[in-house]
Amino acid sequence: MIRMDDMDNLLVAYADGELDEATAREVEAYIAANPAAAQIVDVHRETASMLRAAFGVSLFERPSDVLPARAPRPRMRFLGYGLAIAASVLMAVIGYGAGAHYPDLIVSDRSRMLSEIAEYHAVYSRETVHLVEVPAAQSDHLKQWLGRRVKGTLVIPDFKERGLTFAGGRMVVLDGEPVAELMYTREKGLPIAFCVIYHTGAPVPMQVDKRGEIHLANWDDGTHSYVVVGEADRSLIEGLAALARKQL
Amino acid sequence: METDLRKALTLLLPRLRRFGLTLTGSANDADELVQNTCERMLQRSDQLREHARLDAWLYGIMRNLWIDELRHRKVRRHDDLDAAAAVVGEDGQAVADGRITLAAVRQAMQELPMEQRTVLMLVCVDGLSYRQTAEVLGIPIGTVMSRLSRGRQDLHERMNARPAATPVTPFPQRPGRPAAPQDRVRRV
Repeated sequence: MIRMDDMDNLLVAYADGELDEATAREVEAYIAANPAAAQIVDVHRETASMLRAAFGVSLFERPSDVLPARAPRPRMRFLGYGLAIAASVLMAVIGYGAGAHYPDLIVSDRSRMLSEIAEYHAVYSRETVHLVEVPAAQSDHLKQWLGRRVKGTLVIPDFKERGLTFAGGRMVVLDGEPVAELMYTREKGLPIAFCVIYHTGAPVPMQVDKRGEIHLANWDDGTHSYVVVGEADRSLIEGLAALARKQL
Repeated sequence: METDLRKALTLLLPRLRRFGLTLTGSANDADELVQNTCERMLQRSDQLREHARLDAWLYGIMRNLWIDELRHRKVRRHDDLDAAAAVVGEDGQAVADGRITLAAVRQAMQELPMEQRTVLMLVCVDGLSYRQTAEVLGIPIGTVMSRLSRGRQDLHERMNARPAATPVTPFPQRPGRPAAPQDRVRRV
């Protein structure tokens, strides 16, 4: 049996995947019987996720750092996309609840959300070691954890028919609201994400927008907002969004 | 060899700046620390083979240089929050709204003690293992774990703090937890 005096340290080590297998199983059993401990693990994962997003290395890059022979960093293209994407989704959210009457106010919130999703995705889609917090092998845990955070039953869409492999998921926090971000890898190209955010309001039909090489499909079903985001052809993003809608 | 090192160092500069800011809380101090670290690395490049990771080795150098600097200065801290905001971002209005944004995360991070934020940065952001982090900082792994636990708890509470409100997710006490033999646990 594990020593309870060590539990705070064990929980953080469990959240970070630093425990040996036997101890991890003991901690899992403890968590299963103690909702407060599960809550603490969630907090540890959440803070790690937010820190990685808040301190993305691109924020500390300077043009003078780039070696002459080095290829341009694609990440830099995303830094200026926030406002562009915000503008691009403006038409998509007109008519969104009260936004039909006060589009400027409502669009501001939604566009900011989408802008941050794009920023998060731009950072995470280029991660190799930390692409996801919880791997696909732990899908049951992922559905339980993230489903609870977005107040719904989390469905993990199957995109195999479009050549994508589910890699796992992570939670990000936008404007105080948790976002379930499911990551999918593909043979060629950067990963694509499917995001779920709890949001009540009038349903919004799917919209696809384009800025540069980024496509972003988003829609609402009345209780949640959904976003498929990735640097891929419009047909792929649109197809994935349609596929996801069928499976939800 | 030195050419390769210089190239590798160039690629690591953003991360060194990030860790420099984490240590110092000041953009100016961070830049100076990175500069000194690069000079020290090139002077001691023959020691590199002893280390598996260049970044971890450099972080160790940075940490030691900063501790030396603090001893000389007797700790004259700059305005952490202004410096952090100047380096990493905007989102000021969102912070003013008291909402959880990336800027709020950065602000809360800068409010933590240096010991906690360095551990958080190395583990959560840079992806170093607990063992590597312990080596960089010259502390036991158990200390890494306790600083991580406490630091993330503090960070969470700061970000959820609202005027006249209780924390959203408090870390509750767990009364009545059973005791168990200490040697059952192999940390890390």
